[in-house]
Amino acid sequence: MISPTLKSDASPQVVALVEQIEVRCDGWAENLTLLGSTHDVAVWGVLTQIIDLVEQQIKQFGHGSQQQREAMINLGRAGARLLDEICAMRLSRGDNWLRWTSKLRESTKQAVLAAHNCEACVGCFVTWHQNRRAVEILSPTRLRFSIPPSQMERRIQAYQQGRRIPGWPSTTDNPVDKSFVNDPDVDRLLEGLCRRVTLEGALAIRYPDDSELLSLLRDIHYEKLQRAFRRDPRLDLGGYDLAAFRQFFAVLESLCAVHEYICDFWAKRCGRYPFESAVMVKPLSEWVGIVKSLCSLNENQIRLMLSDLTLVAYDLSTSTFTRLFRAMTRTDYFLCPTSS
Amino acid sequence: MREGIKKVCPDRYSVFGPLKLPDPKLPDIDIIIKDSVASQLLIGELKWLRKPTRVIDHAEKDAELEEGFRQLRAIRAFLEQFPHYLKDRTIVEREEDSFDLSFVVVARDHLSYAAQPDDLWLAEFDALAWALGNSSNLKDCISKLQTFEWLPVEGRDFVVKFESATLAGETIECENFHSRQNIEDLRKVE
Repeated sequence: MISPTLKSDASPQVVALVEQIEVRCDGWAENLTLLGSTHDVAVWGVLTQIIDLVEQQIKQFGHGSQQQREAMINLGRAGARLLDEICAMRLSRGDNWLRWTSKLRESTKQAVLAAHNCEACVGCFVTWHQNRRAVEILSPTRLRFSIPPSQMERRIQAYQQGRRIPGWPSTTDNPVDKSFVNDPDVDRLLEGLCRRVTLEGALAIRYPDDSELLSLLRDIHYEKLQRAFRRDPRLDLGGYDLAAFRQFFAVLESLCAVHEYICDFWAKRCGRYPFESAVMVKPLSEWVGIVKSLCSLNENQIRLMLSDLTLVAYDLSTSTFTRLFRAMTRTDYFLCPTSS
Repeated sequence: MREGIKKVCPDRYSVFGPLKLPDPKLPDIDIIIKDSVASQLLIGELKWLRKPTRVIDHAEKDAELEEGFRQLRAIRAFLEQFPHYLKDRTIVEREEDSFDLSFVVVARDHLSYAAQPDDLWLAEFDALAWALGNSSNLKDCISKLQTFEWLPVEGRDFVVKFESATLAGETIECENFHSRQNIEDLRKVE
């Protein structure tokens, strides 16, 4: 075993061994079972799996817990990497039957975990090449990466990852409050909406739009976003500014909040989470219409913002799903089928 | 950032900036915090970086902080060359040499530790706000920041664990920084 060594101090043999392992890790996605699915099923399944994993954190540690926040960050990165990989693989375009089967659940779980591990590996190998992490060779197939043993570096790293001294106040840069909506009108309207939820299959539900509820939540979220949108509202984001994006995002958050609440309500009522409805799937034109009806932005701006949030843009002529975007709220992801 | 600092700065301090220096090649002075009673000036270069989401982006962000130190050195050299500059701008009422000057890069959304060869130093935005509100005077505030008492302490505030990730038959282990609370929560669940 070799003691922790930076690349700049390592022997050619150590550098070569690390490189071999790095190359093998690069093939992380080659044997994923999920790649036997069609493109749309794989993408939808990954998003649904991510919601499942976040829901598990909520169940264990509570809504708004630090664990949930960390899971959101980690799964967001892993999900983006995996979806990129799925698109690069050019999977077949056959059956688009979106069903949360045990086979899909297992294969997406394996894939998301692999992508998560890949994120860790990429971070280690890149920082090794940058001489920021040292390596120890534990065996020909096992490496241990570590930050050079400076207490200060470790304390700073811990701070960067959200660790704080006791009594540290909640700040915009490190919010610790859960900041849930607490409004009697919202509660009343949600209660009414819950009574109108109908079953669409074993794991799917349907509920009508409630513009009064969405408008109310939009205004509440808009105010709350002042805390998150810390930069100058005139900041140009390319075709729109931060103030306009705040309007748009408040609408997305209100849609997500209602959807998440309804799914959670249904899970508690029936003992089954409605996984087949967890990802909101709508045509692009419908997304534009909904957002437009809830804010003063024009259609072009909304289309531009949706496009900027799109993780995957795929072959428009052959794909059922042409646009995928993800809102960075608690658990909600959006998948938009073709806008034909 | 300046507005954020002004909001939390106790009334006993004055906050100035930005100040354009006469040579266009020189950077602006982003912020000056003055404590007349303690005869202390804190001269800051503000760096609000885009928060890196991946560890691989850190090197690029560190370079931006280094740029902040380069700018701060240029400002310090200018003030040494023109010792009446701040008095002429009515920032200080007396000669500058009757004040202690401290030069800091204030970083927001990213932090790194690279000890500077001179007396320039780095503070984090939230930590500066915390220290301004939790110190008796500006000298005390600077001391709190320079001794890093705002940083979490291993064992007390966080725990480092090696965690493994296996891909294609290869396993790598890397350090993860957990809050003590998270570890305790996890034990309860298990």
